[in-house]
Amino acid sequence: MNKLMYSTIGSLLILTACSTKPAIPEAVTNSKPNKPGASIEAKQVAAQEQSMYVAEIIFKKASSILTAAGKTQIKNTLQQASIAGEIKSVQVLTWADSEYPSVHTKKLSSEERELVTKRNDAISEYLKDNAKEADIKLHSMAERPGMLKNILNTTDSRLKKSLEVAGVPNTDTSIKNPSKASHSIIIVEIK
Amino acid sequence: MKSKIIITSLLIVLIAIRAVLPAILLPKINSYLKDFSEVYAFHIDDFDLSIFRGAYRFEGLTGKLRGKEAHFITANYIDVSLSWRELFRGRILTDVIADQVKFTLTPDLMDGSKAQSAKATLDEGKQAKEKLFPFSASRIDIRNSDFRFADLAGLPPELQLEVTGLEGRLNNVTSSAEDPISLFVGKGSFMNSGAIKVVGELNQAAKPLDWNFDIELKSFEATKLNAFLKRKVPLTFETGTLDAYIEVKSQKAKIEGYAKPFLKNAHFLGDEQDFKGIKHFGVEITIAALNALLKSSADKSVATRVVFSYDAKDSFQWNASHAISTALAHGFKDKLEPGLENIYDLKLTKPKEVKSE
Repeated sequence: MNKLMYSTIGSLLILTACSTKPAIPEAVTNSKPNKPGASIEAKQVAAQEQSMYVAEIIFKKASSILTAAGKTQIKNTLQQASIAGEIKSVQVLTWADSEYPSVHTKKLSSEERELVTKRNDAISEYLKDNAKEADIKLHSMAERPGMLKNILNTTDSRLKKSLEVAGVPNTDTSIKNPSKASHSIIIVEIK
Repeated sequence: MKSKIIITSLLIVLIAIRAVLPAILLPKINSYLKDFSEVYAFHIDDFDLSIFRGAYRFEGLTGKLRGKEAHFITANYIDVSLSWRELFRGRILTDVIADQVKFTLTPDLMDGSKAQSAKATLDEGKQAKEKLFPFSASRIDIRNSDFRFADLAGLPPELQLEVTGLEGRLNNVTSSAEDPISLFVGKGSFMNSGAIKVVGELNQAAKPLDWNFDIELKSFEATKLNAFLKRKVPLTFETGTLDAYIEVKSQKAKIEGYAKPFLKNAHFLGDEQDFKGIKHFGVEITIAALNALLKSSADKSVATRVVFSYDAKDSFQWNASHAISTALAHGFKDKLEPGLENIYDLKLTKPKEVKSE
């Protein structure tokens, strides 16, 4: 078996010397490869809203303080959007420290809902400083839209439905993957 | 009194049109679908009109290569309706819904499509589009559809590669100079196992078309690929779960991207009676050794990043040294993080102002 291992390593090293094209896009290491960006679920929901400018940030547990990394992500997304056109509106969807409530749960505890309000306020304040003209719309992922909102197919109801279709778990889902607890998705729409 | 008569007459005319027109149009449409192409022949079972919705619908669509019996495409219906959303924005466009489309790519179909030039096929397609879809589309939805790939002629469906339950939407199909980007969202199930999610953007202002796609495959049972891998490598999994993250973009006719596969709990060397011969046994031994060597002690996964590119000049290339060094690093010290890396985008700039004459 050892012989096999050594011959395998030898073959790998020979192969390693063979091809160096195409060039690696960036100087990446395995453990720190990811440019901060949104998950595929966030991108899907943004695309449904006909936007490709989306950030996804994470809050610390029980905290509503916007981290420096979160601010950078939002700022980069606003910058990218403003290169393509004038920013019209920003949709902010924020989770508590639990997943989106299921049809049975309907809404999370008042503490969780309060946490979402504070987190949304923190993002809103930051957006007001960095996208002054934008219409900022805040959505709480600590409660499901009511029947009337569903019937009228409001933006809130539509966004939450899109997230569920994209595969975001809820409080009843057995596998909480991809977990969105403590996350915020910020979708920037241009004119 | 006069207005009542006008309204009643109008209603009677509309009902008459609704009742008679489909019966008149159906044979004409089928005659056109049968003969419009040198290579393909299509047929619909029924044609329906919905005057109040501003819609028409082709039901029971089937398509085959001329002279062949097998259908390469079927669809429950294709519905074309006036987009009220766009009407409020002052544009007359349609929303198209394709329901239960089953498309199978076979060697026959690929060979058949070569029977005429790509330009001729494109021209036929354009003519058919103008006849059957005279109004430009705003949005195309694909619902509950399946895509199959058979690498051998006559391969039974259970041995084909397939994405089933495909749900997708292409927005802003008819783009403008101010808003040239169409966005695509899709999801489905790969081999009735892993969930596959896709999001993409297409810049229609660019010639040739620029595009950028992100693809994620999660929790795919690798054993589902055994039939395919046994034919192609040969290799079979005893167990294993595969996640994959892919970004690929095409800009100025150059395709570049990466694929990041994560294989967890993989075991090879299944029942020796299944081995096709010495080659199969040798491949399985080598892959099993690689799997043992490159497995991360942290989560028992084998992973790498394959960076690739394609253009007309250099054709397909992939960076083997990076793939191997990444896999080795993942196995020994520097674990590869799952997830998309957000490396590629279309780097769009503000569209140029269109000056009116």
